[in-house]
Amino acid sequence: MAERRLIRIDPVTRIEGHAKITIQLNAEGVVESARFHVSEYRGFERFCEGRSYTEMAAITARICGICPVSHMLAAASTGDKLLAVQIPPAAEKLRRLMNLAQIIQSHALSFFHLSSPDFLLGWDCDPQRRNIFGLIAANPDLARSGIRLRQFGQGVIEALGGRKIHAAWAVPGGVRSPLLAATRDQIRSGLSEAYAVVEQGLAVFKHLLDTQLTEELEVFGTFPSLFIALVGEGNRWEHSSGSSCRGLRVMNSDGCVLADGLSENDYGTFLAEAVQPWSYLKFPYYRPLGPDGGSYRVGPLARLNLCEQIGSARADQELLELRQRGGRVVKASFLYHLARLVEILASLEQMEELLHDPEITATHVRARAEVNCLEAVGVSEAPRGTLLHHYRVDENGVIEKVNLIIATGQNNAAMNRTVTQIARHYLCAERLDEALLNRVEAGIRCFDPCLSCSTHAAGAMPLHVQLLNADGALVQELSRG
Amino acid sequence: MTAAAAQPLLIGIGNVLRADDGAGYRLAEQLLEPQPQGWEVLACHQLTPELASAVAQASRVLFVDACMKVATDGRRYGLHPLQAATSTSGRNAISHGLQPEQLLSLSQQLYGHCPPASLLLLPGHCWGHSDQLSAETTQALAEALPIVERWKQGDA
Repeated sequence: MAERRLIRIDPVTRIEGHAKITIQLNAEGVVESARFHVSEYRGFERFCEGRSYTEMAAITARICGICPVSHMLAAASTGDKLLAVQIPPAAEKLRRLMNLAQIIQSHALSFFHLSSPDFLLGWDCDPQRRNIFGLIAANPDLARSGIRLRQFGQGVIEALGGRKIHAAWAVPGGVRSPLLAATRDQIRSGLSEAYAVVEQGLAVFKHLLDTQLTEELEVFGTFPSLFIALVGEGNRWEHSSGSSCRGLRVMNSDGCVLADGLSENDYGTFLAEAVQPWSYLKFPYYRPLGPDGGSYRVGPLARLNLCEQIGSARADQELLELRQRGGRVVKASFLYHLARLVEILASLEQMEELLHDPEITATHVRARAEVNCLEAVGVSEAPRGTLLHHYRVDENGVIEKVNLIIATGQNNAAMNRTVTQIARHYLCAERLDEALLNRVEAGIRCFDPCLSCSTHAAGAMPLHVQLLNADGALVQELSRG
Repeated sequence: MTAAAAQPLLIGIGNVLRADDGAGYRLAEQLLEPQPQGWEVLACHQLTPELASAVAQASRVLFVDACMKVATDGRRYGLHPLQAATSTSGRNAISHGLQPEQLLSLSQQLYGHCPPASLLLLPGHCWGHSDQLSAETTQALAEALPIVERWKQGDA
């Protein structure tokens, strides 16, 4: 009789951060289970303690080189609440503008740099060529377009904040500097090329979905789950907290709204976190349904599932097509890729609208106050999903406690379910090769996880250690938590 | 892109939180004040594919980076001519941190133009956590400025 066998994919490539996947085959050679293990640990929640709340935007931005804008905006939003101020209208619009730029650059990175090599070069392409450089060699026109789209998003971030990465610009009370008219015009001048690129990406990817990627739609993480995201007025697509935001919405795969208008302030009443001993990444769930029934997805697909409309013409047309392809509530995680392209288009349209708003160049961009509240929760939609920052401070504004709920963590249960579904569909003891294992990795890439952002909690970290002898037999086993 | 509009480009590379590793970045920062005239200067943490368009539009490119006494590829301090890499794929293909030769290759592949390029290596001594250059590298940076000026004038 065959023995049980463990397959390891280590590291998982073309994601942000460090992780591995293990696939357990049973004695019959059939996939029994698959797990996505996050093997890095950051600990920001602990070492922010003792710092001033005014530093949090700069410190938490350092969690990541891809998502610094998201943390900066969530931290600034939390800081607004500690001051108990309403930020000036221009500051709110400028923060929205920067978040749109962040969505554009991050989604362009995910689609063009990290994931499209799989679709365009093939699952069985030589792994040494299956990357952005292989794409450049095979399709320089599309690769150049993708690189320039990301460059456009980064350019807007730099124009607003002075730096592409780790700009110290959003602060409690607003932003540090207004937008100059000349900079506004410079950003506007780049929009037409950016539109052309995303239209090109949409055409290429939709053609692939129609012709070559039909099985992936069924197998790459297609299952019912809950979805959570912010929504705006009229249940429009939303990406930022602020005056147009109606709060968080929870929907199931049948389109039933379980909760609406939830405030981030109360997140502890509707979100809870489970832990597993084999990963540093926690497993948040929707508390009313418990760990099993309450797993949910966040990010571009969730935002598009939860909104009734985007609110701009071209993106709404693409949303309609997405729903024709995947249903009113899209369950196929593979369509996260298409959702990213739709969100890039939405971001460009909303950016254009903001740049035509006369208030965008107003010079009053910061409200000033001292600490007026000792506890606050801020929220923002990061490219990968809903991001919550929760701070408690003393009367001098010194941080006493931090909790960060990161988008990637909220997709953890869905990512594990996805790798299991793919592994069970493609793999068995007689059918194991690199191209098939790459499909398992690609299931993770649907979610575009950022693991650098996601592993912070200290003190409650479960641990499971197994000591094996040279023959692989278990000698000793220790567990904590 | 027109040849008449093309200007020399200097790209200073480095991590300014890793002491002397930030020498190239610091040198570029010095050259950015006052605003450069007649050439372009970029200070970069690392080389990424987005820089290929700036390289392709330049008449000549000078990369400035720090290195240990003898770099891993055998090069020593000073000015070295560069050629575009023959391939950007393979095990060293990391879009977070390209080598100058790979960026030149991308410039050729994506934009059909790869300008003449050189690499100026500055000596580094300290590589730990610090936002300050060592005294030796500070001195080397000052001594590099005339070399950069000659390169800018087309004499190096």
